[in-house]
Amino acid sequence: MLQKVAIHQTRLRIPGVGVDARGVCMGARGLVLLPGLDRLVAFLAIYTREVALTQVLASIKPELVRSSLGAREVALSFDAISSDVMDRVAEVARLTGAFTFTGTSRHFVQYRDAQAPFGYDAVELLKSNAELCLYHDSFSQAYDLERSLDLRELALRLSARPKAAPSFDAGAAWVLAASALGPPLVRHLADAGVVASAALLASTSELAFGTDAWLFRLDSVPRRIRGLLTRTPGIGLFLEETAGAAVEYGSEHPLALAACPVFRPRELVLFPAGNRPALVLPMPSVFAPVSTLVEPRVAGLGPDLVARLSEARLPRVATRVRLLPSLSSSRRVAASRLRDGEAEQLRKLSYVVSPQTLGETRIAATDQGVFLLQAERGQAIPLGALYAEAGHRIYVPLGYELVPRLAADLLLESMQVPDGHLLFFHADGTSSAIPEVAFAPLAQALLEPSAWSEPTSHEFREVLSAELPTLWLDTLGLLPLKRAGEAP
Amino acid sequence: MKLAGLAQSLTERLLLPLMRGGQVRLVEPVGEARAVELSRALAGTRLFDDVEELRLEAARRWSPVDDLGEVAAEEWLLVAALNDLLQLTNPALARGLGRGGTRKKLARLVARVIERAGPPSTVRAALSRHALFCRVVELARVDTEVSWWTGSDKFVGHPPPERLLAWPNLRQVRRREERVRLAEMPPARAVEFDALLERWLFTTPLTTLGTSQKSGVPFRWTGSMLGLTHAPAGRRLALRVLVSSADVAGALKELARAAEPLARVDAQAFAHAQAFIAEAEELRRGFLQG
Repeated sequence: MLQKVAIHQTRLRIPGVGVDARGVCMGARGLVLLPGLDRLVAFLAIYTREVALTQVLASIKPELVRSSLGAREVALSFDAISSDVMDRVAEVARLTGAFTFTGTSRHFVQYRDAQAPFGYDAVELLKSNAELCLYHDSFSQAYDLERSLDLRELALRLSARPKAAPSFDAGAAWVLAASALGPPLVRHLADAGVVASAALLASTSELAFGTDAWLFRLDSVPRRIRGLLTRTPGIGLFLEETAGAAVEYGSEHPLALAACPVFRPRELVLFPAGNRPALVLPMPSVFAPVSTLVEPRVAGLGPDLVARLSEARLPRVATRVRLLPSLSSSRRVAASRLRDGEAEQLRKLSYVVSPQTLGETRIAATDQGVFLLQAERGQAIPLGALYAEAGHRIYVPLGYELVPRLAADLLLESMQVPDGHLLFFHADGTSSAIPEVAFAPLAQALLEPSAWSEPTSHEFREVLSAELPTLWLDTLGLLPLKRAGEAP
Repeated sequence: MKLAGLAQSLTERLLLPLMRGGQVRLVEPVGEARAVELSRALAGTRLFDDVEELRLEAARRWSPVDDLGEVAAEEWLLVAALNDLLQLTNPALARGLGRGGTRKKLARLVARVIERAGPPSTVRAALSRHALFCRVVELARVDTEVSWWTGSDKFVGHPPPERLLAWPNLRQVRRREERVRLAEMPPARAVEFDALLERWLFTTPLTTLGTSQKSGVPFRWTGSMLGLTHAPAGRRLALRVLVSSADVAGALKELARAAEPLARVDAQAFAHAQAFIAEAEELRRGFLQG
């Protein structure tokens, strides 16, 4: 019989059980009593889907116990790190039909549940010398230990089962190929450009791939070779679940292997599909990239193989240079093209830009717009359609690149752009070649001469140098007053 | 001679050399009729930029003015009158037909023109006239007397011919030049000249005031002078002209002497003249102390 632990209760009858900080009755270890191995597998499957066993792996101890009545059950004991861990274990155990206990050495009492939030305490201890005494509200039973179980062995004995919706996760994969298929597969992977390395396994009887099977390690399985690797007889594709364990494509292991760190470093466990046992392979020490395993081919040189230059005109493969949006990081604005009213905005902007920008920015006015070559060190003028330099004397709209990626000199030569001309590719597909001499400094181009006038100055003669007026008398003729008359 | 040509000749041969300095070559006598016609035609026009420029330059010596307006019709009358007045000193005037009658007739015409011009009606007009004619008392005539071994001759207002100066040593040529002031220019027969010169000078009172020591014409407190010095602006202008004259002390003595007759006929005018002289004297002392 059990009684519920009351709040603030400190004295308990079960040895090795106390009350933790939250008042919950807890021992040093936890124990899950499972009806059989299948329940143990179910418990582990559920538990590992939620939480990794890393925390309790070092202390977990599955054991086969036998009651005094001869019933065999599985007791899975582990360190009770905290009541949180115990709560999760109890939840999973309840789901799988198991019971959860807490205790320290031999006596384990039922762990808390909804009816007893602080746990249970036994009214009376069992008078037995059994190795395990369990106290439950429905029973109190003593168990003897029959044998211990190994989790690794358990995991290896479990067969992979078909997966409802097989998929390729972004992870490494292992390919096991029969010896005859190894070399062709090596060449195929090398030709397909798949990053893979290969090793030759020693002959083992467990392998269904004959003697000297090939083991390939792929960093990922490209879509183009998935059909080859999954449908070719003699080739098995295993997707790595965790380091040292992989499950064949289309199947899954009952346990979440990634949460079961039970695999050894220097071995590889492959879980094949179907009801086949796991393959435990020693990890080969040498893996060679498949590209190094491909046989080199020496081209034969014969008189017929040497290409002869034809005297006839070579057929020309004309390819138009096009602009494509570029995904590369943005480049420096090297030029811009102003159209319509943007030139007037440039006039306004010129009042605020730095003298360096005014001096280094160069401008050319054409019938296709006003072109600006931005200053290399000064601030860029953010007006108009912006261009980046795609090569010497070549400018493309910002965010575009030229395809095919020809050398600048070759492109200028093929387009017959004269020397000293700058080639602008526009976003609308047209292009312009502007003489470099047409570009003048922006400061010079903006300068509008103000009207000026020279004020008229009066020349003031020096007083001392003033000439004296001198009277000169001329002859007056016979009739001096011939025109001098009185006014009416 | 058409009016335009007459105006240009008067300007280029008389007015500009008089203002700027140089050789003044008179125009043939203008007479009253043409002078009146000329003054009416040129009134309100600014045909001669040089005249405007020189007039303004001269006026700025006494007043900070920027524009004196166009040369008035009365000023053109005075220019014509000055030309004819100076022609009275021309010996050639007596060589033509009519002789003494010609001079008298010309003197009468000059008097009528001067009377038409009259005294200045505004301070600006007084300043403008002074600016035009302030150098008239500087006008001089060069008379050359040439003697040689068989005779001698006097050339008034023009140089002797070269032939008279040839072989100076052989012919014992002697040449003597004399600068003759304005008041001393008329020949002995031209008795009308002094009175006309005085009348002409009284039409520009500032010139009379500023040149009383040099003109040879005794200063008189005329109505135009008293009227000008009554107006505050005119008084300031007259003081400036007086103080800027060459011999201020002598000018003040001349003014004081001229004021004495006023004491008998017009006590108020006399007091006004005395006050003006006192103010000018005080101003002169201020200048001297400063």
